[in-house]
Amino acid sequence: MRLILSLAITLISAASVFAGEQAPPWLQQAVAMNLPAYDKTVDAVVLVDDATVAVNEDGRVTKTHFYAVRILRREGRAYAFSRVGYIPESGKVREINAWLISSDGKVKKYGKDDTLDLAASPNDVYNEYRIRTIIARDDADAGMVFGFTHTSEDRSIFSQDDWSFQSSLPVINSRYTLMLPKSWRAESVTFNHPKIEPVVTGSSYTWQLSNLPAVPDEPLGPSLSNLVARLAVSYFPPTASSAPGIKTFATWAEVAAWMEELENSQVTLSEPLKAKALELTAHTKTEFEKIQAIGRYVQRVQYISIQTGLGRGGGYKPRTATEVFEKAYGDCKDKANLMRAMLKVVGIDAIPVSIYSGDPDYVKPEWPSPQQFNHCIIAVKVSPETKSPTVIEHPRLGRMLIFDPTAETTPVGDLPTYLQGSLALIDSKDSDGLVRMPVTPSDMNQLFRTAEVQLGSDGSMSGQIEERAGGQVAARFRTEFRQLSKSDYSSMVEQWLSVGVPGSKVSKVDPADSSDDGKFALNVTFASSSYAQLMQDRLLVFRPAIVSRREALALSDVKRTSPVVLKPNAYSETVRVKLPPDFAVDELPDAVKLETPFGSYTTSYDVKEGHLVFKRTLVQPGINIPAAQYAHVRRFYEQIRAAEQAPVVLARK
Amino acid sequence: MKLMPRLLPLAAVLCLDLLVPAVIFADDWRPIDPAEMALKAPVVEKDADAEAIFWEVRVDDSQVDQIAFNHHLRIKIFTERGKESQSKVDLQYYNYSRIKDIAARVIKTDGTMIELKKADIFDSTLVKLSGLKVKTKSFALPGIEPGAIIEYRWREVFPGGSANRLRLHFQRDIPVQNVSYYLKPYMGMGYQPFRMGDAKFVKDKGNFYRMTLTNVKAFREEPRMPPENEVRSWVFLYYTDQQKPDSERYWKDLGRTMFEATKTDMKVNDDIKSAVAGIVGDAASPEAKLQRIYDFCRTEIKNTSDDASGLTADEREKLKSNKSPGDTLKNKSGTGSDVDMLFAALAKAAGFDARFAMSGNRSDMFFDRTLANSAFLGAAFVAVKVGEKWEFFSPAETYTPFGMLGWPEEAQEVLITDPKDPIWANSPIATPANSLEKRTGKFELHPDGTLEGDVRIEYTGHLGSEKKEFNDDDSPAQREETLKEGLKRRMSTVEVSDIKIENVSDPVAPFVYSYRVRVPGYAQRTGKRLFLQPGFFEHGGAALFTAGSRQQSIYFPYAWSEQDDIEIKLPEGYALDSADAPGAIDPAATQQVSGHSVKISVTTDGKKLFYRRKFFFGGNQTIIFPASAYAGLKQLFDLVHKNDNHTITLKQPAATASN
Repeated sequence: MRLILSLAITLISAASVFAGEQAPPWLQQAVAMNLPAYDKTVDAVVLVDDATVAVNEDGRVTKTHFYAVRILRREGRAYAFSRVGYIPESGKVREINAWLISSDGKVKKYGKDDTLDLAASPNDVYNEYRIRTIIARDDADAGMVFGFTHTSEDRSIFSQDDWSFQSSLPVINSRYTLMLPKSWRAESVTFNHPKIEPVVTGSSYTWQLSNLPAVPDEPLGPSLSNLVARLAVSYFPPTASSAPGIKTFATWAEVAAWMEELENSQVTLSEPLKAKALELTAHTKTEFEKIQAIGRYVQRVQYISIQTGLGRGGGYKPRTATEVFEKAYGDCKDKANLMRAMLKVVGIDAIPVSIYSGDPDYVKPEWPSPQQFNHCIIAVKVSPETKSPTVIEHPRLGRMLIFDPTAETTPVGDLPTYLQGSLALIDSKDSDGLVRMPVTPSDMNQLFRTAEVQLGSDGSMSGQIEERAGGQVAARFRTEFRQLSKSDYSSMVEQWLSVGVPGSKVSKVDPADSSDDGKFALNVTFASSSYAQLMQDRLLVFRPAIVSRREALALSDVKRTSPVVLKPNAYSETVRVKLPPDFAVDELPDAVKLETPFGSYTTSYDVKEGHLVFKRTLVQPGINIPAAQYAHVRRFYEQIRAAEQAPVVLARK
Repeated sequence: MKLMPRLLPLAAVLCLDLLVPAVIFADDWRPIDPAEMALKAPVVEKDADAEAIFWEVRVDDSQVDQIAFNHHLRIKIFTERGKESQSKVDLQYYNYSRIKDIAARVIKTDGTMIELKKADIFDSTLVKLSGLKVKTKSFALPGIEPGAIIEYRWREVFPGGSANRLRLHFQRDIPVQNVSYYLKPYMGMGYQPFRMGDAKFVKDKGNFYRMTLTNVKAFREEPRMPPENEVRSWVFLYYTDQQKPDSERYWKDLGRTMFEATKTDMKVNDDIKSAVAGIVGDAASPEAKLQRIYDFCRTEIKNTSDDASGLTADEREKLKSNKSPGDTLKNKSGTGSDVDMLFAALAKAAGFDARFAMSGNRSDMFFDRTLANSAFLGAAFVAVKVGEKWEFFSPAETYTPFGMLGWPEEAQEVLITDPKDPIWANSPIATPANSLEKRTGKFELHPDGTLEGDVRIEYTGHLGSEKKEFNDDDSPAQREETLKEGLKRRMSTVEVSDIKIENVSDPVAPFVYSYRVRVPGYAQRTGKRLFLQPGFFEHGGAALFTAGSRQQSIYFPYAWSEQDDIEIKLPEGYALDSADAPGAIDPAATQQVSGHSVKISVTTDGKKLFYRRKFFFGGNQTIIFPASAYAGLKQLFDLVHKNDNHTITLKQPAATASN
């Protein structure tokens, strides 16, 4: 795809028309703006970001967008582009124009001939959604202003919209205007910012923010959507019957009911599907085993995305279970629906769950809207006999086991980390609000590592490392194991080992994937001719933390503006080193014990019967730490890093 | 490699649709051998997740106005991973070509067959711009599962296309039991096989010729491997009317033709003549004269092809093209080619014999003059006769120092154009010393293990060119960020200040970094000792090779060397404890390919430590190694890595006394 784009961009450059153009007055005004001083690392500043959305009584929405960005340094050229999405079946881009104004005032205009029309999701087998874009990167440079305006039309099925007042760039002026038919009303919620009240003129609403600072990209930070000011609006006709083509949502219950209506009709059964469900569960004894057998089967149905009818809500409606079963492929909602149908055959009820994948804090309860979701999983009604960390108790729907049929490496009884703790919607008319997804306990997601090694008096080391992982740690290991070919997996293990033990030779890589009980094991046998350093034939120095030592500090910057988001992590390691008989321990690092609100870490060293036993443990909860406590978090990880670099000194007897 | 016999002795114009192979595109699929269904394990590579049982392509070039390809693949799926990788098919095409007659089916393990429905083939436009469309026909294979056989075929037609200069690839991302290309040529055709063993085109039915390769391994990339064209199995097709192609004659003709074609491009006019005297000045030797001309072309003429020329795409479009070197001189700007031709004209005006010259491009494939096709000559520059020897220059490569070519043109056979008898010569390869990374550091080690001090690094030769090319298009702030990120990858606690980056776009002076650095926790501290790695510039670096085995050759684009001079003020109250230096790698032991040495010394008062490291690689003009040499090469780099990580111990004297 990259190649195609570069080809297209080259063609754009070739087709460009020059000179003698005039920028529109709004853009000229933007160019004349006085700007505050920005840090030298800021690429560009958005001068104007102004969208007007006009809603027709029949549900047609016309959106006009004005945007201008001043490029502050060469890297800011990447922001000299315009982009607007559309669904050909229900909408169109009426007009798209752009201008590039150089520092000496020369204007270059971009129009239809410079516009690329792209498939928005080229990796899908089919996806209707398209993008029109003008890319002026190659013409742009520091000091220039790029501006665009585009007008698009769509017949949305929803009476909702959202607006982000900025991305990572600083913004001088960002404005969103909603123009409604007479007697219609709008409601808004603001995220990541104190409530922004609109200026209302008749049935026109305007929300505005000015002088927003840049949002730096910081490691282990929240997603941008949880940092920048965002607006979500819902608008309503005076009566539902006055705009029958438009779907309005005032509560989550309404969203759930609408989703249920779309989904229920798709739970179709065919004889082969029924037979398969019965075959899969023939030898199961418990409710959990039935769910497990069907869940495993559906997870292996190939993930294929084909998105049609998007303008009519197709993005929310699964294909029928019989079709997905017959073709043995589908997307997330298809898989959830197939699983629902197969469970129905064996007498178990299930309900699809709408969720956002990738950021547990993305969905905001204040805005009832299906547009907050990008993924579909399943809630299976279970009896008290089924016990699992992923069972939730719903006040109206009862006990529900949450499961993601798309996440192939996370078995029934577990949930991917990126979904745990998210707010999600169970798509049932009996669902009166969002529910919090389960968070599995840290002892379920642990890595146990043991190493049994022998140190030679010449510094050589040989031995075995054994890893036993559970929960989401196992899921991560399983993903690597399943995605890589056998030879690539071995290469990956060799590379991992070589970080701690450079020059090592791996003689055995023995992975064991036990998906049903959520475990993954790996045994590695290795040898290195020079792990420890022999000094003057007198001292032998080595690090007892052999692999996965914390060599690097992820939080390397001294200052921080955004919170630190830590994912849950826990490991426990025991390294038993048989010491060379002609050497004795001369010096051991001090044991470490760190207890903090964001994690605990310990190390210990014990010498017994010619062996050194080194132990280390880490327990890190999933937690968001305010930027004010950054220095403490950084110190915590710096201490871990230092502890894991610390060497043991042996002296010749 | 010698040219293989041509396929057809005479030009033949076959333009009947009747000749489209009916067998392949009949309604019925070719029967499946029960042995194929029963196959439980791959045949070609034992751990393959999927394997093509056959892959056939019928290339019909017989019609004057189009070329058509009929593709047919049958693949056995062995694992879930194989299922995933083969479940979706995207057939990309342009709006000027056509893809039709797509058919696909899956034969499941229980023998049931699922045919792909027409409605499940999706035609999408990926990119659309001013009449050009990049499109794709995509489909997912229904019911695919491990153990199943999948099969699909399609026809691809390129109106106006031909097989001339066509590359036929014989390797896929999965192994293939049997690959066959069937070719129906339009006219006399030659072909050049690469890594194809004894495979030849042989006469087949219906005026087709067939070339088959069996048990073809999957193509896999490995780090530091030669260009793909040098490791894949492929065949180059070309039209020819010669019964027995004579490569020497071909190149001779090309050399003469190109001499005539470039004569005016390097024409010396009065302006050039008068300019050259000023440029050469008092330079006496031929080398000195050429260097002045070379540097003039790099420093005084704006190279508009260079991404760092400061020109936007629009401004480039607006530029008037130069008709002659005189124009380039007058305008003080020109394309890369203009710059080279101006150099040639100035050299001629200074009394040198200068010629247009061509070679292969080593970043694409290694040139071999037995391959008689100009498509393999991917680079052009200027040859100048100095004494009895031809030397090569390309000032268009702004950052390449005088006396060197860009690395892709090094160590290649060069065709020097001539009106009568074109000359073959070999372009030189730069020595490790030509590309030097010279690093100096003056540090102080604190008792808590923090290292602090000043650093200066100079890059010359190919190393310098690469640094300049990488940085010259970035803003000063971004260049600093790039430096900091590189340091943080090695030492995450590093704090960098007082950064100076010099000569980023200077064609002549070396690229230079200088900065102040502070690294908390650089040395590890225990109760009574400090452990210090004096090789600061290699601290935290990863091993170059980690894989235990290797399939492809190992390739380094150019030779290079490193020289470190480090001075470290040791903390008060600490003294060396059993300190020693790592062993050396004697160049003689590597046939002068590489060498590594570290010298560590301490002042008599024990307060300062000096660390001097030297390393080079690619000596003896050796930069490519067969896969069989991998173990030795890995051992060499592992040893270098170990020696670079050599640690010394410092101990507090009081504690020393107690031991």
